[in-house]
Amino acid sequence: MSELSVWLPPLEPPPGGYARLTQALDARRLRSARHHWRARLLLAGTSVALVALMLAPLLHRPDPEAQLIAASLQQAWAQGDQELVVKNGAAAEVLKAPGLRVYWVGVAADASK
Amino acid sequence: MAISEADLLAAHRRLERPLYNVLYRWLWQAHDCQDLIQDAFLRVWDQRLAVDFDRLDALLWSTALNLAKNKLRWRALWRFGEVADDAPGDARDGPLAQAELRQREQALRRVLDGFDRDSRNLVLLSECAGLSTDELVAVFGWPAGTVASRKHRALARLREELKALGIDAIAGATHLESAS
Repeated sequence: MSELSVWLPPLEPPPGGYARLTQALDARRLRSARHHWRARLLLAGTSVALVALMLAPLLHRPDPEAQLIAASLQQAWAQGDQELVVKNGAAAEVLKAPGLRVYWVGVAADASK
Repeated sequence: MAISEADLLAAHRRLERPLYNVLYRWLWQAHDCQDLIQDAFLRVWDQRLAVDFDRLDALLWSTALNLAKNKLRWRALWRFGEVADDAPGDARDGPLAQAELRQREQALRRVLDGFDRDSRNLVLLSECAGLSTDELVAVFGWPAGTVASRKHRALARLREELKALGIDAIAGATHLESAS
């Protein structure tokens, strides 16, 4: 026995320390498992997004309607202030102001008619 | 290398009481001591892969002592966070025994407050936790001769200062009336 403990008896720690530690360790284990799953999901998601991004240009098929509209718009732009002529499509003037012409452009259901 | 959960829990069973007895003589707050012990064990657990089983106890001691040092710094910075000291002892002891124990603790605190950190730790670890010189060497990382001489000096000073307060700690005789 030490000198001091003769005079000063050892103190008892408050109860529940052991249970508290086991609970904290359990909570850490659970959190760690959750964290692993989250990390795995994040990795998988990122991989899929990257692959999709790389394959996107290969998978892209130009829409024929969009191509027709683009051609019509280019035509309108090239003509400047002259009347708009749309081939294989339809255009309706929405707004006309000095230096500004706004059209709604679409593709006719049957371009030959 | 690496410790298991069973190792840590066994260390808790082994060290909770001595750790509490030492930390209490630094913090004088039962709840703070309990929190700090828990924190020390969890910190060691976080680095379990790098912990050698043979060094586990020493690592727990040094972690707990460092946490106590940080806690005291924090208290010094944020004085409004301070709360009154807990009364040590078991409520079953009765009010008289508790009052006597409290007086003894206060006397010890008065003496220990005048010690530097290392001397205080040496006194507490050897006297309140019962650590051997080899164990103290593992905790402090000093040569055995240094530990022995510093411990000897610190204990001699403790005896002297307690005697000055009218307390003969070795004989267990107390004259607390004169001390308080």
